[in-house]
Amino acid sequence: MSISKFFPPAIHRNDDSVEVGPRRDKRPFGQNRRGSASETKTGIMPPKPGWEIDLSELLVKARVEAIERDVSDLKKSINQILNIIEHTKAIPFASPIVTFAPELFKLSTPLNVVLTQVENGYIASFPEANLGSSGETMHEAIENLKDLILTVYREFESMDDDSLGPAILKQKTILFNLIQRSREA
Amino acid sequence: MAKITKDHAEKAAKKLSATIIPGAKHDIAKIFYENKLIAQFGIRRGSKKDLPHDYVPEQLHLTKSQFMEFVLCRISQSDWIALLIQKGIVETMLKSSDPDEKTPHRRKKPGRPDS
Repeated sequence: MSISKFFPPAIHRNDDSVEVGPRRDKRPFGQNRRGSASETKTGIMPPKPGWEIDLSELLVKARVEAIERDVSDLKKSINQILNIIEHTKAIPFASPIVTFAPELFKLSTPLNVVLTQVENGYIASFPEANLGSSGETMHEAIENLKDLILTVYREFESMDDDSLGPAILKQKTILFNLIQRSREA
Repeated sequence: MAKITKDHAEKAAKKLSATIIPGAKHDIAKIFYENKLIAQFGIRRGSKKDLPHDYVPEQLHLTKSQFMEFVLCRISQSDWIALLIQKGIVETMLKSSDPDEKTPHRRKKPGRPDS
C-alpha cells in the first residue's frame, strides 16, 4: 500500500499557501457557511483545530502495527520453512552419474547415486554395487565416488573371478555391465 | 549415533588385516578370506582425520552400531566372518564331512531311557 493514501499530495497555491489533501473549502475547520463554529444544524460539536495531524498520526500508527504483524507472520513462516529444510537434509536423494569424463570410460546407462547429508559433508553411494565415498560438498562426494568406482574397476580387470567372493563377484559383474573402456583408451 | 571417521575406517582395515591398495583419491582396503576377496572399501586420502566415512559399514555388510562395536573390539573378526557366512555373503570351503553336523544334536539327558 502506498503511503500517499494516508498523506495526500500537497497543493501549492499562487499565494504561497499550501493546502494538504483534496480539501477545497478554505473556511477554517469547524466553521459552517454562516461563519460560526457553534451554529450547526445537527448539534454535533465541530472537530478541534489540528485534527488532521492527529488522524495522520493514528493512520501511521495503524500502518506500523500492520507492518509489525506482517513481519511477525513472515518470521513464523520462515521458521517453518527452515524446520522443513532441516528435516529434509536427512532425507537421501538420487542423482545420476552420466559420464566419467575426462577419464576414458563410457557408461551404458547412467549410474544412480544416492546422496545423503552427514555431519561433515555428504555421502555418495552407488547401492547397486555397494560402493560409497564422501565429500565436503555434493559435487566433491560424487567426484570421489567416480574415482572410487574407476579404481575398483581397474583392480577388477587384473583379478580372476575365482579369487572373488560372491558379493564382490556380483559387484564386478555390475560394474563391467555398466562401464566399458572407451575405444580411445 | 557417532559419526564414522577416517580413523574408524583405518582401525577397521587394520583389524581385518586388509590389504591396502593406494589410489588417487582413495586407498582401497581389500579383505580376503580363504584366498578370496570378500569385501572392500575406500579410505579417503587426505590429512583430515574427521572426513566422513559413514559408507564403510554398509560395504562390510554391517549396521553402523555393529561397525562401531567392531571398531571398539566388542565384535571380533571371526564374529564378522560368521555373520557374513550367516548372510550368505561368504561361502566357506571348510565344510564338515559329517552331514549330520549341520543340524546340531540335542544331547540326551543322562539316565533318561529312549522313547
